[in-house]
Amino acid sequence: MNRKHILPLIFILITSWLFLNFRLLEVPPGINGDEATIGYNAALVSGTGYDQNNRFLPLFVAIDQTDWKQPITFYATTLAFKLFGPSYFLLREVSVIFILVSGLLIFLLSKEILNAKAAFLSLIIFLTIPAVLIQSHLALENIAPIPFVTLWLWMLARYRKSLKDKYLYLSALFLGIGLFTYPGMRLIVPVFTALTAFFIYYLNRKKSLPAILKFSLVVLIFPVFLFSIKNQYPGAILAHNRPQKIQTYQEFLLPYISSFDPSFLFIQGDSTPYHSTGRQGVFLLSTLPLFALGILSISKRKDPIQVFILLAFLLTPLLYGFAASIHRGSRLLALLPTYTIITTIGFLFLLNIKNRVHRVILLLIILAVIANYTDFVRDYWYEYPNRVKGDFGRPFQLVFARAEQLVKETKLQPFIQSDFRVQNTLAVDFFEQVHFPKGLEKWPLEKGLPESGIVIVNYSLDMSLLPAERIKDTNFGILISK
Amino acid sequence: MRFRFILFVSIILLAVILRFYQLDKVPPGLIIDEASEGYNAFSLLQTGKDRYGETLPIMFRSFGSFQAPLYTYLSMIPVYLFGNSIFSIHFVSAISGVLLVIITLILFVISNEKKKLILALITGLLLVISPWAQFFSRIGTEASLGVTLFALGFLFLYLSLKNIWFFPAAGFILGLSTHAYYSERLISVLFLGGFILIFKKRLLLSKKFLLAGLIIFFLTQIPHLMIVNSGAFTRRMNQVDYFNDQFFQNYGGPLTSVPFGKGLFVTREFLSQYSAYFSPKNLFFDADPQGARSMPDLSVFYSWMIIPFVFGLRYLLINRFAPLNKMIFLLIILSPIPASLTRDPFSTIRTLVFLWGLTIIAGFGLSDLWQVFKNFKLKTVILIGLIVGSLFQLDTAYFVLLKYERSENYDFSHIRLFEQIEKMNDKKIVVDSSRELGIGVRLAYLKKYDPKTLQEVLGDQIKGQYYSNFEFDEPYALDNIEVRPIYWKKDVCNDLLLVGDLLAISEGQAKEHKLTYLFDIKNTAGDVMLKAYQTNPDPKCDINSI
Repeated sequence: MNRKHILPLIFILITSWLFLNFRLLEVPPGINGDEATIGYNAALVSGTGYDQNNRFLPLFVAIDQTDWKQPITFYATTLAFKLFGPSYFLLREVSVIFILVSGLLIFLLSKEILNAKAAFLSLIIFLTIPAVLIQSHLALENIAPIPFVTLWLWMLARYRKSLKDKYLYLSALFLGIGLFTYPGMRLIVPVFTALTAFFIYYLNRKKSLPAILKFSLVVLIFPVFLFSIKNQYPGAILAHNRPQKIQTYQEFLLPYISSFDPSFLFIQGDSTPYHSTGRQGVFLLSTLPLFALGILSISKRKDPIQVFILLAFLLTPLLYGFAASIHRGSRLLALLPTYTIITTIGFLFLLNIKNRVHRVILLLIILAVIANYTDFVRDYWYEYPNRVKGDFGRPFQLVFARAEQLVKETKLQPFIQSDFRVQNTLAVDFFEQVHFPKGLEKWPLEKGLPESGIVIVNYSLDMSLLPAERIKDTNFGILISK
Repeated sequence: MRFRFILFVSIILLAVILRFYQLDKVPPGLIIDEASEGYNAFSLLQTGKDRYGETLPIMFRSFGSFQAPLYTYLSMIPVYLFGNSIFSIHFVSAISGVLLVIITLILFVISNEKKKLILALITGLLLVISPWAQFFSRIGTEASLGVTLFALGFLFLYLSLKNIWFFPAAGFILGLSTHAYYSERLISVLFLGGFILIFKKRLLLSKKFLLAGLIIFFLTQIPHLMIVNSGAFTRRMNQVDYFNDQFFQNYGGPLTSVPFGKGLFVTREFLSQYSAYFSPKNLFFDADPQGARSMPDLSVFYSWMIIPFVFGLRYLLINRFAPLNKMIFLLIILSPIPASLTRDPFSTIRTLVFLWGLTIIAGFGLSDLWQVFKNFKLKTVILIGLIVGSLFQLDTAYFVLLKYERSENYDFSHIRLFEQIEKMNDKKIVVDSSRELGIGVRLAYLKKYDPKTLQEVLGDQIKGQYYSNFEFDEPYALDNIEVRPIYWKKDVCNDLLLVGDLLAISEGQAKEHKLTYLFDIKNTAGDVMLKAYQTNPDPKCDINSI
């Protein structure tokens, strides 16, 4: 990489890191069940090697045998906890790191396909995608496919230039690992594999068979491995992850076509409050013209790798009919790298037309993007948390952090109200693991207060006469008995 | 030649592996009929009588119904050799499954079909991997023995066209098959009649053998005739048919008020049921709706088999005058009839003979396609791909999904419970049986409970009415374990360990009766199915006042 690019790149990444970390623990307002599953088990595995079901270094983890967490995010979190100790901040920080690494990889991909200027543009476009900010604040596995899809594309772009096998192998390797990033990738990887086979055929023509075989065999290792352990992890590999039975072709095509519904992609976003503010799309509406121009430019220039990227974008959700997934942006984050590149190409297309009208249009689009993104960020940071308070778990982190602080100050023994774990028990377990790794003794409140100690409680009005501290804006409290 | 021999042996070996691999674990338990067969086989070995004390029954009574006898009699061998295990009950079925493959291979090897070795290999291979054959070869059902005996009879009939000496043997085997399963009682008679009609010219050339075969067939039917008026002979049919007036009144709709309405209703029902067996949707895409009769996500055949099946039909039509093909046509037309007389839609277990016939047709089609494609490497790769893909699908559906999702169809949780309570001899245990009839007989079989003691209890109720009394109330008090519904008023006043599912003993009941939770039993998917509690009799509890 050219030295003159390194400093601006580092600057953008550090600025983005600070930006993504702003209000990381406040937005969204509480931990959700999936985050707690990953967090609690990662905390346990980082400590003892065993998960909550007493399995040693499990490949997949689940709380109820139905929703299984994939190993890439889980072990990234486990590693982070092992290195720095478990914390709520670190749980979400892993997602921020995933985003920054993805940004860097998109920079490299864009540089490979286009040029350095475009690479910076791609990085900025990627980082300003609303879904990126939203997912960076969630300790979930949805974003894990992004770096692997980008690496697959980057290696293919390098292969196109050199036709060296090592890039083919690496491309296959990253695509194969992608299977373990997110369950939806099980429907995407076969499509990308077939698409790559066609691309290799296009590049090599009659001599393509060995290259196609090399690529396919390396990719194949991963599904074969996945299914070879189906007896050990039947719930994670089969059970709810089996393709839905399709009764009609409409049923199959609806999720595919609805994935490109502009109102979903650019205006409303994911249909759940966890993955969308409901007021912005998966992508910024103001980038739509650039994206459309990108498609136009690609279809005009017909550069094979660019056409390949466009096809990858269009075919990503081809098999989503098997998952009956409609308007679920969080399941389509594998689209982000290709969207970013296409939009960058659209921007360059406009930039390269040297006349005043086009310059004005470009300027207007840039202003629109800034206004659009600012509006989104303002809403996301300050209004969205209030709207979705009920959808996320209660802010347990506040009461546990305060209790830990009090214990350190007073040296009193910590207790927890015996029926505190009524809802979101895993979140309570996680925060207990983070703040009180030795565990909390249960205290039945009908016994009154312990002789000496502090008790984490669900705060109620009749506690106002007791030596109690209520955590601001929550219904948690801490009873103190000295 | 040697290579082909290796291929034949490999197919048989694959059949042995698929039919016997983890036979004691998958399916993960015993259905009620299997448990009944198992205990009766054990009881016969020990005493020469079944669990009701009947000496060498013509049909085996089981909870108010009757089972064809051959499977139970044959199961005495594995029960003697391997003990009272799940494996022993599945054994006869698994052996039948392997024999069916061997019989099919022989049928084509001796046939006059073109490229008969390829045809034999392909049809044998399809039979080995077919989901229906795999599924029914691994549960202790009389149907799998029935289809194998019928196939053997079919083979002998075909051989009799070449050498009439085989006709009496065919008569005997077909007659025997009527004692293996209900469907064969009708199919064998119809098929034998149809066969004689089609090939009468050839058969009448050797009237002596024809007559001998028919006499032998008739002799094998004598046991049926002995009980024909007892009610037992038609008991099962009466339970599942649509001929009775009550069923007509309930489901006849407007036909109930039309002259000859019942006749029209029966005809309509029959045609509707009969045509369902030819539905591609049922055969190639949807699984049998009865969970205990199918595996998850897999139909009777793999979906891809519809293509060779269509080509097979074409082949059969073109070569319709070949004797074997005539027999297959006859088989396909007649074999769904018994199942079509019952009200259950698309009941696979009653049509195994039909499914065997369809597999043969798919075999015709695939071997026909094999001849069409000239590139040997390409067609070999395609065939291997199809077989490997199918085996992968079968492995997933049968050895993983069925094991984890359908374990309760085989009452896995009670079998686990028996293992858990086996050593609790000092405790009085009550296992609730409100929703599952077969718990007692399962336990009796696995526990090797003394048949004489059980015969005394069960036999008393039906003395002299073995084939005619259909009432059943089978209490199982096996040493310290009683299998019956929980009687709350009485049981909580005794020092007992109560075991039941989540409906039998709810959280509320446990609290109300001050029961102490002891342990629970989970199914293969990890869901709690049974809970065990210790009673804490109140000192004031006056047992005498109850």
